[in-house]
Amino acid sequence: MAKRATEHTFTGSTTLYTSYDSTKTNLGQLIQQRTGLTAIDKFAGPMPIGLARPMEVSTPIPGVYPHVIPIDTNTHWVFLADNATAANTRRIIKYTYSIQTGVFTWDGYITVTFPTATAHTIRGFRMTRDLYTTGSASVSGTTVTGVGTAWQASNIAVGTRIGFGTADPNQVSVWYEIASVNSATGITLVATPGTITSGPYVIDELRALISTTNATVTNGGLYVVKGLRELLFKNTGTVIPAATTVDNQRAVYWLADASTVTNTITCGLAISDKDSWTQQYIYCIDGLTTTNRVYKYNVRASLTGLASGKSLTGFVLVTGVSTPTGTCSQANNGRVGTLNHGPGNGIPSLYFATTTRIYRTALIDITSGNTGWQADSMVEVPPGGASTYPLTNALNYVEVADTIDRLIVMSSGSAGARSYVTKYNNNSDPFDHIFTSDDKQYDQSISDSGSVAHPAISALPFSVWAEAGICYMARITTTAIINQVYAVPLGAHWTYAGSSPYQRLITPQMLTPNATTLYHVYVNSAQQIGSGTMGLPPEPYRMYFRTSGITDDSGTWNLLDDSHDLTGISPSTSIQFMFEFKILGLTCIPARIYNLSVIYEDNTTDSHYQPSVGQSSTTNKKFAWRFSTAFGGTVPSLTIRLFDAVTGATLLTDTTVAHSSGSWEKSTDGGSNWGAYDTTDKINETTYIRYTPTTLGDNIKVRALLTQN
Amino acid sequence: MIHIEKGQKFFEDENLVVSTATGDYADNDLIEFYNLDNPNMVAGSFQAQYIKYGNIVYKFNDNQVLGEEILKIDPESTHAAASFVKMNKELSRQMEEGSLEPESLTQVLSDEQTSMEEKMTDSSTTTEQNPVGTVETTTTRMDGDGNIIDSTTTTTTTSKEVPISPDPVIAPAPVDEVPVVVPDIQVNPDDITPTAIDPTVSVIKKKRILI
Repeated sequence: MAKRATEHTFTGSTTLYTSYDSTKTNLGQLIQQRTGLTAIDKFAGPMPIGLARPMEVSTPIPGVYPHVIPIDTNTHWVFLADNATAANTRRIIKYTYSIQTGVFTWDGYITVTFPTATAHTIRGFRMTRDLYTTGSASVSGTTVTGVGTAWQASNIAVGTRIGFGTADPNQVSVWYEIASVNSATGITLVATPGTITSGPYVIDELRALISTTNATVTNGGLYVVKGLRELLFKNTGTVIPAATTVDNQRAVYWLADASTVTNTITCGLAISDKDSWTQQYIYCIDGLTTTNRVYKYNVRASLTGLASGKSLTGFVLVTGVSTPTGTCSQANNGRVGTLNHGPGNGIPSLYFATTTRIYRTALIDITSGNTGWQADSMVEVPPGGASTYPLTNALNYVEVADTIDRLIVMSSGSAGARSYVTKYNNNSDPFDHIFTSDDKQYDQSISDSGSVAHPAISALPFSVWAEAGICYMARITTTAIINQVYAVPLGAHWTYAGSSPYQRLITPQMLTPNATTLYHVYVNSAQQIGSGTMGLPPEPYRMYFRTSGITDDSGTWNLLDDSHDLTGISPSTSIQFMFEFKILGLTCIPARIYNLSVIYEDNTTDSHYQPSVGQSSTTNKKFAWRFSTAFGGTVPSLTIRLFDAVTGATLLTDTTVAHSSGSWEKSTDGGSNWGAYDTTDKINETTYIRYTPTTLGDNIKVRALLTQN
Repeated sequence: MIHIEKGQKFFEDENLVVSTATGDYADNDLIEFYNLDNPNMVAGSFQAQYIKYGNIVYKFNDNQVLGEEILKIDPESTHAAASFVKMNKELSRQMEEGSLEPESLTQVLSDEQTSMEEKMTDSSTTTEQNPVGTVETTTTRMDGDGNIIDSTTTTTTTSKEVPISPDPVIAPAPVDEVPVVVPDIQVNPDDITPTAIDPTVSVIKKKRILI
């Protein structure tokens, strides 16, 4: 029969879209092709939601305020701050998240000993990772000697790690702990690597930045943990001491703004890019309403005058007070970012949340005593306006999602309040997207295995961090029941999938040889993930096709509606499909595509007709077909092609609409009576059509094809 | 309360040594230390509880669990969480034996306090550090980088025990005279519902009646 199908199953070769190859499945960075034991384990789509349970590891610590450091294209370090009852020490958790496998691996934790032994509550949290590779280094015993280095002046701290032979930390096989930084060119190691000739090296320095409020209010403020390295985060924990009088030790330093600290109602902290090894600014918003102001610190300043770990030299300035509309959130509030749209277009700015607005201030306006530091603000307007979704008046958290040039605005979750992703505007435009829902599902390890993890609100706020298109969402709570962290491929949301970095799923080209008509494309995808009772439907996807510009990726994509109807599309020798996925929805559970098939008609005999030997006649040179399958409407134009079966040469081509080389007839009684051909659909099982060419040579072996068009 | 001695090595890291003066410290007090590899520089300060017990003190979110874990490694611990567990256990024991009295909590608190003080004294006596009537003063001189130039410890012995101020005499507060009402109905004390008594005690008392 001439009705053909071509199928693609997502089990073949793949390539990243950045290395486009029309013979392979092309994947955006957050789009994956998964394999597994069963048929439904083999699918393509955005990375499934990753899940971590900080309260279910060997040392359970309620983890919030995620901060993520990308290590390579597949690996993220995910740090979380301790949300347990306020205490004199706080812990920091580290996970490693594999984007490829979607697995969080709990690496361990450190305990931070504050120089002030009164109960701290973390309000802001960041980690920094700095790689020092300037100059070259050689080693003899535990002595490292640098050339062209400035280690001491760069405030490299004791306790960090150094690797040799490369400046790429991912290529270092053995790390060595720094015991002391003696000069610009001298470092002493804890253990000897032997002798290493001068060459490239890398110092890998981790720091933690923590802003706290305190039971003794003047013991709050900004703290910096220096001299950290990856392996300190171990499952037995490592305790970091409070600093005393010496800078750049592995210790916790208090960057006080005054002898008696005034940055006591800190709302969080925001960090700007490092300007140099001696300058990187931190912005701490302080005060909930009428005393709202910004403290600016230089977190890489050399700390002098240290006493009991406290120094005033990191403090830069404090703005004047300015009263915002709404109440300023104290949940890790504040982000520095440069959006490429809106009032802050191209302007490095500090964004922060109050209950009813998102505020912006240009960093250059954060000056000493300036009371006009709040540049502008965005009021809460849900998508569709307040007549579609009620105002939450409970905005709680803002994050800059740089890969999609948007803000993630999280609500407190109170009474199931939903959250947003939006451009920043100050003209009351509605927010772009609303997402998450409160279906009350628990994602504990003891939850039903048929349920599928997703970031349900559970009437609680989420703290979020966006890194490389992945939104890490940690529910702010303290219990094992609901303290989970989710990795959601937010950057793959279909609105943004078509912009760099492209987050689409593109099939290889699918061959449709001799296609004369395209019918439909059929897609098998997950209707529900999880068990019959507990499962949930994934978010939808949409589909595009193209029949040209496939090999060089130059063809224009055409959106298909949900009928996936391809009729009316001019066929080609191949076709290609592209998927885009919705992520920002009720559950954020990404779709999973298993396979797809295209149905088309090729130029062999049309599938509605069967060649009839009984009604054909070699003597009279008549070619007949039984009308076997109704079209369901008017019969389209048909084409007959007669070929020399030996040579393949075309002998004749004619159509039912404009026949010029022969005549068409039709019978509805099994060939007893033949009448004029018409386009009426099949009437009965004894309907036949036949064609008689005006002239046709003798003694030729003829192959006759009846097709549409 | 934790007894810390100058020169004491850490529970978890023998390379770290206490440089703060010997004494009894609150669990959370910060104690300075140095690294044996660099004994001339105070490297930082840890809480007394960490020096004594190690990282276990930061492992738990619940004080009761922490106390139980500390008691496993130090049954005589004077750590606040351990004391709390010990007192709880004592109260539970009394409850189970039916000997819990309204004043039991006060008594248990007092006993634990006494026990803690005795242990502190024992510890001092054993090590002959800070005996009653002595005051140890450590003076440390440091350079601008925090390196210790020298350290002098002076022990002053007093000829008699440190005087303890007597409890102040509190004059009884004047009380308005209230006329005494004599009930005109005979009441059996066991029939009185002890609504003003802690419910737990109430249960115990009922138990006693049954016995």
